[in-house]
Amino acid sequence: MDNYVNKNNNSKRKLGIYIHIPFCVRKCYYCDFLSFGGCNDKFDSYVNSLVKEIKTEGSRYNDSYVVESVFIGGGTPSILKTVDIARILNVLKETFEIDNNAEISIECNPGTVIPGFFDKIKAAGVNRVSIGLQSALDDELKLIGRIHTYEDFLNTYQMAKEAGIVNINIDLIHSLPEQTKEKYLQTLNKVIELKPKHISAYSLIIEEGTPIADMKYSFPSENEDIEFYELTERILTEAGYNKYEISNFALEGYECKHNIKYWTLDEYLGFGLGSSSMMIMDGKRTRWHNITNLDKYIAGDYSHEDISVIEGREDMAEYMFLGLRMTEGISVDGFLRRYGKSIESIYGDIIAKHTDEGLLKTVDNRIMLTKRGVELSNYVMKDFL
Amino acid sequence: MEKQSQDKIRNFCIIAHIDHGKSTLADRIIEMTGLLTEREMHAQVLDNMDLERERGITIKSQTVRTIYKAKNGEEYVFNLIDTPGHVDFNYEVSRSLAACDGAILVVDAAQGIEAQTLANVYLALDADLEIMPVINKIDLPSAEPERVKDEIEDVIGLEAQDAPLISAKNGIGIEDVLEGIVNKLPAPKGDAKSPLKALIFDSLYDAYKGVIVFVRLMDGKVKRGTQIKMMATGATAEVVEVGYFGAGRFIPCDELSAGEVGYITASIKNVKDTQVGDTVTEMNNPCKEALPGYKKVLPMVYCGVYPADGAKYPDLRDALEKLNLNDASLQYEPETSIALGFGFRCGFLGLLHLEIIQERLEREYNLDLVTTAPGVIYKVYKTNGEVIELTNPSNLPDPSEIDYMEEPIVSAEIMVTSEFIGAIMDLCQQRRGRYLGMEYIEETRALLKYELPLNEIIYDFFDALKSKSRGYASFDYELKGYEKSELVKLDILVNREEVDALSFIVHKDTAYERGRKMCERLKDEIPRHLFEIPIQAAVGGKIIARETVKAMRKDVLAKCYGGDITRKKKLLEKQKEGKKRMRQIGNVEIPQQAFMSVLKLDEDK
Repeated sequence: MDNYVNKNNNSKRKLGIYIHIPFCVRKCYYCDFLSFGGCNDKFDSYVNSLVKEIKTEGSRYNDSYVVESVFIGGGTPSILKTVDIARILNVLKETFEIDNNAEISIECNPGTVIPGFFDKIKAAGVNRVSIGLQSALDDELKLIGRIHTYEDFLNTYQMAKEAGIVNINIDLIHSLPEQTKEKYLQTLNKVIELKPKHISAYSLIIEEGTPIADMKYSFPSENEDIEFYELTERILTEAGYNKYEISNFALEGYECKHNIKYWTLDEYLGFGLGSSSMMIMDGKRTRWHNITNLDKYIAGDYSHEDISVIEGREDMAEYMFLGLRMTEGISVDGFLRRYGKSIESIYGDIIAKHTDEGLLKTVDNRIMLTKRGVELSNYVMKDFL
Repeated sequence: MEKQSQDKIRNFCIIAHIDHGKSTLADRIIEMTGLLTEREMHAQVLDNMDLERERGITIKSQTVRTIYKAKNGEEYVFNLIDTPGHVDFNYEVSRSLAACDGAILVVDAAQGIEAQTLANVYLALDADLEIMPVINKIDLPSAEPERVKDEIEDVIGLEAQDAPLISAKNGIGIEDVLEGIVNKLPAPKGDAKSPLKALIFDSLYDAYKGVIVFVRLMDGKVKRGTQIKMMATGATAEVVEVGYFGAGRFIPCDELSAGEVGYITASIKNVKDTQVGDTVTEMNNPCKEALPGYKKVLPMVYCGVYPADGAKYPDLRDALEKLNLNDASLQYEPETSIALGFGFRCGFLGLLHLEIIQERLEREYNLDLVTTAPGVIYKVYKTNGEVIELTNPSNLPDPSEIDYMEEPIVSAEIMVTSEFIGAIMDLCQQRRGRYLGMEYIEETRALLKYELPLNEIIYDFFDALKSKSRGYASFDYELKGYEKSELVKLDILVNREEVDALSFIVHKDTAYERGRKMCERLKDEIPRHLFEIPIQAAVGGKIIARETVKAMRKDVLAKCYGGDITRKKKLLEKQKEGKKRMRQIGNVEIPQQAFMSVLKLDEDK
């Protein structure tokens, strides 16, 4: 084996696990994720299949790994019954060694949570909750097809707190239709008042084929989009949040462990329909995703698709463009350790060019995007491919 | 194969306006004469290049020999000589016609006579051909065969009352056509005992046989071992093989003699030695004089052709060499552009020819190309008395050295239904057309005659014509000559640097308009950079139009969807891919398609 592999004290490799729940009450107008609205009759059979997958597929890896994070995402995982969520987590515990300090997150839609929900899932092991708020203004929520109001969200948030869940993330989306700077500021202010430990703030991407792409709303211009981005950064930083990744803000010590794995090329294993995995197999980073056909998955087809081995320059490219998403950037020494070559010898020209343009900087032997570089991150990142 | 006496031979062609059913009728004739089974028939036997089939036009003429057993019990040899169907290839058409004794004129029963119908009829009459009209597509609901018959008689003056009424597509009336060929079209007249005199009406390069020359023997005989000479080019060679044209195959025979149509292969390396229109004779026993009408085919339209990837320059050169073996009318010479690197200035018969060559280079030779705006040959009269034939705008001398310039003018005939006359006249006016006159073909249709500068019609005139007449106008033109004109070179500056490959020559009255549109177009084509990029159009150093590509403000993907790294990577890769197809001019990256954007200046956005 080689130096790609992280090892902890008991010499087991660290792992993140992602569980996909592809169901929603209804799809939001902007969503092009793998999820289905109104399939309530399939929940049970899906969970059965999921549990089977974790047992059978998981047993291939369980001996050599200790799980540091679990992320149940979707879709809307909170659409499931709490017993199902508990069942999934129990099977994980039976199949894998889960670290005592593991971060166990679940995504929730405020329109789906009923009293008692958080107590039960907390008892099952969940210690981090990510609530999809997107906007604190009801008219905006309606325009993008959310199923909940701001008040629904507040109730959900309170329930989570009352259940004793400390680590709560709130998801926001800006550059929504008809959104103004003033309206977005209202959302930001309402959110920081609640002092969640973590805030993700994304910019709306209009994906082709989604209903919103055909709607005749006025969308914020590119300039306004930048203003929203800057506003997010200013308001949240002033409120004590630390921007540790392009779209992610956290109070000290509450950075999302699971997400960081994606940016730092750590191993993660996905279960459930269409979920992605990246595992080191025979010393090579290998990526794949599960099949995306729901009925086949329910019938027990766990085949992998788009399997690709990432090595050499491609591996370096990912190391760079994913690492640059992190505010702390890329370690010059880390690169050397990982690849046995200096970052200068591989990317010297590109780094110099973007440093001249004021988009990259090197601080304490780490290479990172400048403020302007973050705004133009795609422009910078693509050069490393 | 037995020798045929001349009176059992019919050499003919089919002429028609595009889409009136020429190739389909040819297929039916081949089918009905029974040399091919249906299984052997491709959809259209004659158009054997993929490209031709896709575009529905015949580019390279093909010829087929078939045997027909007529109702009178005799067997006849039919040599069906195919002619290209586009104005770009007018000269080839005229030579193909010269190889025939008769012609079948196909007219669409619904559309009637069109511009190319007339142009082709005139060519056929010039070649002294007997013309047999045929009314096609009689099965269409909108067919008006009687009206079309009258039209043929009124407009062309051909007897049309007993013209076969057919549907080539559905095989109706084909036998009438076959009998008509026997009874109405003349047999060849030639003297087999006179010295060899044969017309070259086509040639092609075959990897195995070398150059294959398509000939119509007027007089004399030719066989293996005959020492031949091309009278215009002076090339000589010894005949290796003679033969007939099967459908898609070459069938060798012992001898070709007067009145027959066939092919010759000889020790000839280059198609350039076997120019269409030239006369083949015997070296030691030459005929007295060559056949009339030979002219060297000259390109009318020029453009720069560059490999998208500079490293592919040798591949492009090889590909052009190979295409040139088959297409002597393609001309090319190396040139260098500051913006595009090494490439070739290529000359074409017309815009269609240009597009065909470009597509063949891309498809058959797998090349990714950048082409510059097509232009014509301008004559530049310098103050020192020198005359330059200008094909590349970059080579225009300094204005102080220019006395005056001339541009090529064409005579154009446009056939259009009366409701669109106004729109078409406006279009011709915009394109600096000079109105010559108008004739009514019938109550609702007129033939407009204009003189137009060639550089106004090579871009998109045909498309504009079609769109302004809802597809009904048809168009034909021929080069008339050169005329003095007030022309200027329009330069494009990107970030204050002149981009040579974007320069073009325009009339001074349209320079501002074109310059403005060009800047607008480029503004859309050039992606945002970190800095602002001015795009300017200039004439003689004076800026006449300007647009600005604003600086990039933001390019961030603020969401990476869960573990789906591949998705983000794909987006980045797409951006990167886009970047590869860019050309670096100074510190600005210009997408390759921007160099072609001049072509689309008249498209409405």
